[in-house]
Amino acid sequence: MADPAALPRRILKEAQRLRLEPIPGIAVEVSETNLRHFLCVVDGPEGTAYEGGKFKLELFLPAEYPMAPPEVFFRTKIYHPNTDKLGRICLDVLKDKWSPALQIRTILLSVQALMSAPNPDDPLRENVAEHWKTDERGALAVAREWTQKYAM
Amino acid sequence: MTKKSGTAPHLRLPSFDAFASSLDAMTVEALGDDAYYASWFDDSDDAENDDDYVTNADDADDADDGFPDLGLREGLPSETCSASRNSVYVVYEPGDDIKGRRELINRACGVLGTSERDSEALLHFHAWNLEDAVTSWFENERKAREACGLSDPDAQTSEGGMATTTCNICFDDFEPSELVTAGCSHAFCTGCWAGYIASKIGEGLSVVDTRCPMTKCPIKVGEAMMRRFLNEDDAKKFDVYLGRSFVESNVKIQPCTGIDCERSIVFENLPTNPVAVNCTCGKVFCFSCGGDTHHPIPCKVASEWTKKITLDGANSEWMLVNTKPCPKCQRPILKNGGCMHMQCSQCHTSFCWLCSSPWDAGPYACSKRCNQYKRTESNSNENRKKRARESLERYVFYYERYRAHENSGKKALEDVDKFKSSALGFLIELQRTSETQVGFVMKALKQVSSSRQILKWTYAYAYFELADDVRKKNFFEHVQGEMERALELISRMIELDIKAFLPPDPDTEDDEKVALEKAMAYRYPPEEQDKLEKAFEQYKTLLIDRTAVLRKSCDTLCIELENGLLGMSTPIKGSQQDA
Ligand SMILES: [Zn+2]
Ligand SMILES: [Zn+2]
Ligand SMILES: [Zn+2]
Ligand SMILES: [Zn+2]
Ligand SMILES: [Zn+2]
Ligand SMILES: [Zn+2]
Repeated sequence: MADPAALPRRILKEAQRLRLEPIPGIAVEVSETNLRHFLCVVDGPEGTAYEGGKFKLELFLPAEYPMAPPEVFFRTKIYHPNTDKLGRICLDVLKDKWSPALQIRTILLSVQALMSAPNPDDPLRENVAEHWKTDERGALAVAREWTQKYAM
Repeated sequence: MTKKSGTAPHLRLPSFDAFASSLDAMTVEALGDDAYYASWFDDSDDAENDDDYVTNADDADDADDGFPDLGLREGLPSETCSASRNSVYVVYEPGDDIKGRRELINRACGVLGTSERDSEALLHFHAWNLEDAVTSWFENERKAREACGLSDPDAQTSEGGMATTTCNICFDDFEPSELVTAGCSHAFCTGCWAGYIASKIGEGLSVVDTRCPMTKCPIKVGEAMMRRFLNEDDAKKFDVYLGRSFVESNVKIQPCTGIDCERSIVFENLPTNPVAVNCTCGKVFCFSCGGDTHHPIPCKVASEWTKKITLDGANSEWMLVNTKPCPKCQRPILKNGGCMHMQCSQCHTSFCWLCSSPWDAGPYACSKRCNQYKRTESNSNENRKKRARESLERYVFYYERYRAHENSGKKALEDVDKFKSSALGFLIELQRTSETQVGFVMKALKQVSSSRQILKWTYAYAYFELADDVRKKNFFEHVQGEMERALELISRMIELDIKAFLPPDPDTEDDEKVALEKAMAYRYPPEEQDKLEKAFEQYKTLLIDRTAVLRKSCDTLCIELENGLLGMSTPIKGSQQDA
């Protein structure tokens, strides 16, 4: 943990590795103006209502990173019970399950996994979660519709 | 830390022989429990342990029961009633919690032969219950370790062969000797450890359960390791969190409920019955429910009653008027003493404050034995209105008695202070004696105050618990009646009879200062001195006896209540006798 003003070696190394060994289905680009700011595009997982969509995410590393988790937001509208209108994501590894041994790579994979397996029992948007629980087929249809409308 | 306990003089008085056998049996049982724990845990480290617990050097241990006698404290049943004799507790001053925690860790190390680190994790997991920790450890050490976040001791030895030289947090490379683990295989550099632990301090109380930074690794970071990486400020915060977590999770410790008080009450052995505790700040409360003390009745009954009287408070106000008309001449009589014996200042009729029936001079009690609630006869076609009135009457009956004892109890508490501040000094001077020679009056006053507190709650108990069981109710009323009679006998002695040995009441014209000067200058007439000293000796003997009787009947009542009135199988002999 060197001089906090300078960018920690860890962040540089993570960015470097993301460039050298890209994550399949996820594109990551460092912002030119702020090296703690990452712009990502996650492909909708195959066999889900998000298939074929390209979902933009914004990822920001706070000053305390990696002791504090990154902040991650959807920047593409998505019909999903664990996200809200502002693009915030309800995901344990972004909160109490965060560990400094986790990385940007693992977080993005977790987000992709959440798209494959929505969890309506721990919702961020009550009405969407309710839709999922009472009429999953209907909910998936709306999710597909939104994918076509906003993510393609 | 101040160690406290109830004292238990074993008194045997003629009128209570009826209950002696059942009482003794219970006493043996209760003490048997203690003996069991003592042989289990305390033997090994008795000496150091006891020293740690009692740091107050003044607490010279001069009582027969092995506990230091701190003297009686106002309004605290556990010290004027033997029923709670096993409740030995200490008061933690702020900061003592962390010492108590350390002491418990040391005890676990002694019993289990484990390292401090292991003991700490184990105790933390078992909410600081040493018995549970020990049991789980001896049952299955491997499982116990796993549960509380300790690594397998066999796996731990492989530290030399650590493959990684990269810190998993900063991704820098290090010599294996520069990397540190929490006891698992996950190595991080010291800089990252410091950053990680500092961030955990920022998260608050959960810092006491910090785990290895590796994702999903369950291994707990030991206290020594935490301290190694904490700066001075954070180390202070860490101590506060450790202390708070220790107090909050440990059922043998309760924070004081007094306003702004940061002390805690700590038991070595958890009391089985709700027990009143007294913090050094003066707050007396029930250790079990945190509410105001309600010894000897269960927390649930006490809270139900409190709820009821709060709800019915407005309706009940009319009963709280502090005067009653004299049953003979109708002159309103103000009740100002704690004694239930009222005497009209105009016609000198003696009557009972509670039921207005004549007062018996012989056994010194209400001639109607009015502590016994009698249901009014009701015919078969009673209507709802009548039942409602009856139920109100029943409630009023118990409420009136509850309030009467409550108010008299408060008065008795004031009397303790008043006695301490003036009468005590006069008595020493006039009787040409020493403070220890008049201490018995103080003891009697305190016994009265705490007995009233106990009696007050017994009426709440009777209201809820004894409505349907006539046998239990009769037995209860008998025991309660014995206690009330014993109490009234003393009440009279310390309120009225004692006046014979004190300066005369001040003239109404005198202001406070003049009255005090007159009282201080007062001496017995020389020809009376011998007589009054002899009379005082007799008074002393009688009051000590009666205090003992009250204490014993208080014990009987409390033990009976705590045991669900099982003693009623013992035949009641000589129930109308008096000491
Ligand atoms: Zn490091
Ligand atoms: Zn680990
Ligand atoms: Zn207190
Ligand atoms: Zn209670
Ligand atoms: Zn009268
Ligand atoms: Zn009466």
